[in-house]
Amino acid sequence: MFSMLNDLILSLMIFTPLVFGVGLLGIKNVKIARTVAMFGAFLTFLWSLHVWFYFDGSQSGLQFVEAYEWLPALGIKYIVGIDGLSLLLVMLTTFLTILILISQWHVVESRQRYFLSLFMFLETGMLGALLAFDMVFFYLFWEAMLIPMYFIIGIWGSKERIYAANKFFIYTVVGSLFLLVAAILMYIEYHSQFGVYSTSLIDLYKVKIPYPQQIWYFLAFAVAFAIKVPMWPFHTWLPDAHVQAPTAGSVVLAGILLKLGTYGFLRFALPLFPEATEALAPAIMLLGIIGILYGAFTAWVQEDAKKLVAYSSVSHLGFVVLGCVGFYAGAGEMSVEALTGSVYQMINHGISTGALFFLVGMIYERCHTRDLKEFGGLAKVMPWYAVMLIIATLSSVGLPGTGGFVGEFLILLGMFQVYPIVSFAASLGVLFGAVYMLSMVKRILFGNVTKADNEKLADLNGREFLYITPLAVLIFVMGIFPNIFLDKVKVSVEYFAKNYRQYEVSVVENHLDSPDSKLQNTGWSESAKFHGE
Amino acid sequence: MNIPLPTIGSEFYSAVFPILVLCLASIISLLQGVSKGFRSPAALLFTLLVGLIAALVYQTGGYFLGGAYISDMLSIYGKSLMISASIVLVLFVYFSTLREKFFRGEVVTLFLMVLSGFLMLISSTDLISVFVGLELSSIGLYSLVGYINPNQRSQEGALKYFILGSISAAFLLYGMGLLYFTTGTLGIDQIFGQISQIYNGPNWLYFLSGLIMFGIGLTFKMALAPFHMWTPDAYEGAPTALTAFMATAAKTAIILLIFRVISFTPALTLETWQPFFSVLAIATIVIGNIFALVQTSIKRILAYSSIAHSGYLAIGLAAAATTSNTAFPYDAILFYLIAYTIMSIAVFGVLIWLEEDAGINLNLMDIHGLAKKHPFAALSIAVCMLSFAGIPPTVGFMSKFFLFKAALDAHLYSLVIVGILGSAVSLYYYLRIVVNMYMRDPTGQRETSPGGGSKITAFVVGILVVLIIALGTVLPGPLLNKMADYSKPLMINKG
Repeated sequence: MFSMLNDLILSLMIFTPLVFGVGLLGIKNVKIARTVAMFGAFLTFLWSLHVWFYFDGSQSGLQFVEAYEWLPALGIKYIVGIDGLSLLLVMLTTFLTILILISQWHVVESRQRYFLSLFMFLETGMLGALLAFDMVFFYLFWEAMLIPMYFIIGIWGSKERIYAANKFFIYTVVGSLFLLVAAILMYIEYHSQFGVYSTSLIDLYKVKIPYPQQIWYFLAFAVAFAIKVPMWPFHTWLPDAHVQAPTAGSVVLAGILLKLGTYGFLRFALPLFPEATEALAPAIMLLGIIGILYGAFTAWVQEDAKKLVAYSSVSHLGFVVLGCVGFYAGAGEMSVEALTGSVYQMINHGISTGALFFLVGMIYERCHTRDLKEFGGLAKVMPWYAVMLIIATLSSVGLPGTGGFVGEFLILLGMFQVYPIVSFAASLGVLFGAVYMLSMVKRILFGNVTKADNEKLADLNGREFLYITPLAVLIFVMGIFPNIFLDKVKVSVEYFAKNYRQYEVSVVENHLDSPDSKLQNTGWSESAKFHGE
Repeated sequence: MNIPLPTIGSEFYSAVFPILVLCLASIISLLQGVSKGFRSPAALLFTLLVGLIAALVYQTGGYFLGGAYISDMLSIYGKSLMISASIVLVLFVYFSTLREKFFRGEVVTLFLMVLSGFLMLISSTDLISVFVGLELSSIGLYSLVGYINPNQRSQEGALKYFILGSISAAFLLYGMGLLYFTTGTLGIDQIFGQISQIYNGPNWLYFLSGLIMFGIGLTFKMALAPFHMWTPDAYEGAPTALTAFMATAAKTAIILLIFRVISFTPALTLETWQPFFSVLAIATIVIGNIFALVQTSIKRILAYSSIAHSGYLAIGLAAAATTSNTAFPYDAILFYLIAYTIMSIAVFGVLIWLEEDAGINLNLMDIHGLAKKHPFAALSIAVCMLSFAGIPPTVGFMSKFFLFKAALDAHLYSLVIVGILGSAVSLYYYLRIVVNMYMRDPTGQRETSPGGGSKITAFVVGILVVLIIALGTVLPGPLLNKMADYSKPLMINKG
């Protein structure tokens, strides 16, 4: 009977948080508000579990597709769908949102309902951007998700929050504006090639843009995504935003928002402009490697734990970027291993860095500082905290048995087949990663307790266990049983890697009725509409 | 185009009914002002609303007075937009402290004159009626800016507006004279229908100078750079409701007039217009956005933002002035005007509301921490700011999207780039307002607390805010389709 939901499950998933977010604005009582928020997040998670179980891992096409006319005169449709590239990120989004709400459970503040409803709006924005298969809707969600994040940083952040929030917002919007222009040009190009207007990504994949022009289109898209990832040298907003954001904001930012950059790269920039991506792949790899090493070195010298984790994100996402451009020279194929690694590493990074930000937030709540010099010897005082921090760190540095190993190994393996030298340079990043992460762990956990105040720190409480344990467990599950996850995405990723030059998305039937009929262009040509002739 | 002979019959009276009824209402309110029993604000509001609603609901079509007066879908669009905006603003004023000052016989008379001038403007296809309409509205506005609530700023604004406005009227008149001299007719359709004959002929230079002077007169009223100098002072000095009226109705009226001029130009020579609009658009977007960065008064920020939005509309005009056979640029502009009117009225409505307690001319300091004291007002302003900046999911984004699409269709890449960069710059000053409301603690000396403002104003603002979001997410399709009906009369030369 649950299969009845398949026809509208994705819309339900996108808009459930929105409805709850709006409802939350009217609930003054903090206790009721957080229960309602949790109920909304849980419901959304249930929808995503439904998608997970009904998702057919043997299909490379789009599943659970919904398509409705929205602006027929301009060929804009509301299309949502999910495939292997987005499935894991969607799961991560709905899952992390629940953990974040648990981490906020103890806050009793009059403005808490606004905080919770902003998180609900943020979830809608992220899910919408991941699931939208229409350029305009993607852009709507992509931009709309900045607004809640802007307020989360700007209102609940620490001292320099306004500067950080503005920088984050303006940086990202400026990048996206270039994307907007290139997208409109694509759309006009589609019209001139096919005679009808459509913003559906399924249609836009068919547009052939001649090679030299492709470069401009690609750059416009890539800037928007590179800022979001962020790739060096567009990363400067990230440390500010992370350090100033409240813990929950940092977790979402690192866990999901950044992945939308790499996801957008895979979903849009690469298949829409394959030749340009191939031509510019060396430059992208160079930026990726610079990002890996620069992030690692900068993280090494940080005294602020949160800043350290933030720079480690720059470094780790460099790997993900590398995996997205592992082209075999001239073959029209990508390294499947590297791409799989990238898709997997996005999730790993979300989990391990999410956990690290949570853990840094926990000691910040206790000591009101994140300065590494203030800590030392916490392993004796807070043994459970030490266990969790070590687990998250080990995944972050890619120790076998943890999820981080699988992702990084696949990327390095794939890249080695394509560009051994790149793989070598990137593996230096793994090495330095171990250095700075372990030295952070050493400075926080081991040695003698240097400050008298730190003697009395409480270990993890039940609520903290509740949200950190699932992440710790997942780290091992992802490390030991990667196939649980990879089986679902393997076919999509392989199809993508082999066919990115003529990438076409097929629509998988929704178990009930065929969505193909809904997708056919209804013939609203411009002349028919605007001249009435 | 087939123009019937001048006849003045019942048809004519029914076509000019909206203007007649406004004039009648203005005479009645003047008489009310001197009569003892009927000069209460409520009585004047009654006259005003009856006149406005009668003018709004009654509509008919046709060409009259030898084509000097035209009533078609386009004028119905303009009339509906401007009168609806006026009704909302009049209600805002009625429920504010300005009630006694605005609802005086002579002020209401002037206001109705301004509105009938605008209505005349959007229905004229003849230079004489254009001039009468423009002057009728301008003279009323000059006096209203300084008269309703006299203080140093408003009088300074009124005087600047008056002096510069008079000079621009002189330009306009001289330009009209030259156009008449070269073409021997006052009908806009006939003047611009002749461009191809005059082009590069002996009279071309006269025609061109006439055209430029005529254009200067119009761009002045629309506040396009470099003829925008009066705008910040007049907007800041005028009572807030009147500022909203000037920002929305004046823009609508002039744009529709320019539409007519463009639509009467033969398709092949249409691209003559493009460089003019392109230069104006670039100058206006740059100047509007850059000067807005350094302002501290909220009304001045909004004034410069209004200038910048005129620049975006000029991008649309440049896109409309192409030979390509599409009405989409017109539709995009008509959509933009509706969007801009809704956003402006909403944000000025909140300002009117806040001014109840805080006094006039709020600056950035006064709204520090507004979100804590008054979440609804802050939320409304924030939504409007994001919409002005063109961030989804608001109607501001959709309108910019349509406009940029029209411009890219017409290959106006440089204009779009300037527009995009302008949007990026504008984020800074729009966000500054949001930051001050949400992210700073209250420090302002002035009391901006709830209580004084009327519930009705808040309710109307609430509806407008919902509209801003709804038109940006679920409803833009129907509205855009509707615009295609209104732009139909403009396609006479494009086939």
